[in-house]
Amino acid sequence: MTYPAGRIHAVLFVILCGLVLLLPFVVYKILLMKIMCFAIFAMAFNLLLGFGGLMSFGHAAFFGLGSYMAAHGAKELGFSAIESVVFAMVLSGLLGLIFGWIALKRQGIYFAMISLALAQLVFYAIWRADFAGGENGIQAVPRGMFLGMVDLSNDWNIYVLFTLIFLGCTLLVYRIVHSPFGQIVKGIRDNEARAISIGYDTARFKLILFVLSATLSGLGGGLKAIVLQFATLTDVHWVTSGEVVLMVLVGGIGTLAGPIVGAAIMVVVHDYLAWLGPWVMVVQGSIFILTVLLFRQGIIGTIGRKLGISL
Amino acid sequence: MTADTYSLVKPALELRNLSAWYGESRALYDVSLDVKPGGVVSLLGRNGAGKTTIVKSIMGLMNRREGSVRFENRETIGLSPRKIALLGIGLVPEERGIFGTLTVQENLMLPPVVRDGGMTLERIFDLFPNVRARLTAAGNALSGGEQQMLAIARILRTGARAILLDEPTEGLAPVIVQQIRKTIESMKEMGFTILLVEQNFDFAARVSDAFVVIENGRVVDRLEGPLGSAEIESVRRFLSV
Amino acid sequence: MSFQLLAGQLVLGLINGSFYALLSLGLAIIFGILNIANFAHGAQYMFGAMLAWGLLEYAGIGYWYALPLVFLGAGLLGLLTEAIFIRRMYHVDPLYGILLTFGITLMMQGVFRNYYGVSGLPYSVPASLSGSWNLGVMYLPIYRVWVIVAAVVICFLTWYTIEKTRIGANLRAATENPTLAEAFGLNVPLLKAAAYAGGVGLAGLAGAFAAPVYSVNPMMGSEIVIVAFAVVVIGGMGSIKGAIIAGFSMGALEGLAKVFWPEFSAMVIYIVMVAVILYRPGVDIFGRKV
Repeated sequence: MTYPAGRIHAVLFVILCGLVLLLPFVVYKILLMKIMCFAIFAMAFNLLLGFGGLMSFGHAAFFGLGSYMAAHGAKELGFSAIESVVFAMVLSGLLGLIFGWIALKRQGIYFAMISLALAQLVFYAIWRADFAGGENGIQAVPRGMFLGMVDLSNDWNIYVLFTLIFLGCTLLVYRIVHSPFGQIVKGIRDNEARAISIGYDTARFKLILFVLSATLSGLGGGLKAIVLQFATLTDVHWVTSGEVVLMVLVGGIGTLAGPIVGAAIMVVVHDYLAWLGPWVMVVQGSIFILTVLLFRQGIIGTIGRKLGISL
Repeated sequence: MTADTYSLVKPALELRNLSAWYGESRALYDVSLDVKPGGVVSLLGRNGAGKTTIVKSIMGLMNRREGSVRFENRETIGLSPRKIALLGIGLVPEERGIFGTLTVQENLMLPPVVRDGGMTLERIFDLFPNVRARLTAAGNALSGGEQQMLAIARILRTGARAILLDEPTEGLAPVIVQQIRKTIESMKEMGFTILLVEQNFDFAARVSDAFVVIENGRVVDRLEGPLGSAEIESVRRFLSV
Repeated sequence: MSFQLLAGQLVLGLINGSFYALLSLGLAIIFGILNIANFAHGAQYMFGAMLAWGLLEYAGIGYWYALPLVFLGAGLLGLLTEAIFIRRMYHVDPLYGILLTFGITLMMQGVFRNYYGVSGLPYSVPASLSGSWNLGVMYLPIYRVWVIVAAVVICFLTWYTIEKTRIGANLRAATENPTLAEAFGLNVPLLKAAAYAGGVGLAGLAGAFAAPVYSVNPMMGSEIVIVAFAVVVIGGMGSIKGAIIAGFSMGALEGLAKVFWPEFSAMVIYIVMVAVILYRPGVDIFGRKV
């Protein structure tokens, strides 16, 4: 039995809408919003790794820069929440343009290593920058008002706003993946030489993809800073670059639903098992190891393969 | 002496219905052949016929092989390449397989001794004076001929009694080919069992006792030496088509 | 700027460089022979320091006996890690090797944090190496000189083992062409396990050297491992000599940067790393292909 992919994805999207409608009555809204922020980050990363075949090991640079810029914008520059997040996206996108231009000159493990090195530069720059507050980060970031009318310090208000942005992002990623641009990017991933021989400027396509991914990562980081009201060095640390790989891997590299599921699992593990203290790291590490050893296609990838459909 | 007489009758290397695959695609179809102790058998055939694949299959270097490969009456199907090497089958691989990052001496000493009775270094150096002269050179600094001498020399040291020689004369100057022929002849005198892969039929015809012709991964003909002129002509025609 | 400041930072830089060299050496061996980017190297370094501390704390075993014991203990940890996890990565995309060793790092850090928290554990300089020499322009702590000398000796011995001995020849052959090495009867899986254990042993030993100079804590390896990766890249991925020389020189460069550009000294290595990948990929610092 085969189903049209479009219908399956429509059903999945309806399920997702149902979940974001119902879950806030059962689960902490802050937790849900945190999941959404990391899900956006993971979707952004998956665009690059899953659909572009580019393994960046420095994506915390964009997430962290977004987090810091949104926090700085809201706290010091008098921006509203939306303005701060847009500010964060623009700067992350610009950083993505520079880093992408440099890193995409190399492939494979060298691409991963160069993205790691560039992200380390961002980490040390932010660590040392006066506005960023060193080890303390930026605390007590105001959530402010939406359009001057809606008070975002109310959790329901901000939840609705975030949910709309999050659902918008999932639709955007779906569009990107299924657009002619997305097809070409996948073609480059599978056989770059062939794409070049057909006449595509593959370097430009990869750079556009990289910038898109960086911008969306900045969005995730910016939203995170607004909802949790702080930006810290963790956001920009290389361990966060590793965690986003973990989220995408656990969910399923190159699937549409995988990054969301992976982000949800990792955030829940992190928050719900916080009482375990340092054992959380052991749990995370074990998930990492088991996924790599036993099911490299991730949860959604494995289910999709069993059912013979792409999720 | 009865044991020896027996072993003269029994083949040292015995392939029965050997099949092998590269990934999904089948490369060998039910290849059967014998090499008697102290005998030299040549695999003949055009490029891509499957000669090197047979050599690789004997060493266990294909990811899938079926059938039977017996060496001195021991089944080797299911053994790892390392175990097969340690039974006493020495490989002189195609393109010589010299390790470029190792010196000549390191290349020479690399394969572990598998049995007593291997050649001493002194004898090896008598046989291959150029190897001695270049002991400290890096493997990738040698000429093709020197690499080929080294590839043979390092197997003689190990005490292996059966040797698989894959295209030993490929790309070498006639004077070097001469030298390799003499080497193979003296190895034959010393009683080595040799399976030779050779494009150069004239070369193979001079040193071999028997010939197995391979085409599309199958044995298509077997000839016992010495060959009559009609046989030589027919093989030559087959190889040149 | 005074000469004292410059000399002082240079010595400090060379000490850091000693650790970079020891760690990068192990990483380069593991990368060269196993084709695994061993992210767990920082955690294994931490393990070495914790083991040295634990030997003293629980068994009263002092520094000098701890050094060989830590090398062996970390080597054993490496053998186990290779047997349980790493060898399953030989036939898959190297990306998964990075992820797996990252997972191992999280597990090890989590376990040690659970028992020892994040604050540093004290480990004092052994009596025989305490004190400092007065050089007129500066005081030079004897322990730091010892670390530099020991690192140079260990780096040389490791290089010698790999480049000049029989076992080193076997390792190089297994690196260059594992299939052929096996067809000659070499035990390639054993060589890989030994290389991994050796690399981890070196990381552990570096940790033991670090115990009296840096804070012994479960997170101590999480920054230096990234530096070590940068050094391996700068030295030419997998090049032993390159890793050693790049390790010491990056330490010295970082020390100098602290004098001239103190806020951003930590960035210097990454800038060099980016430049090396862009302008000299796949070549070691001697310009040879790796």
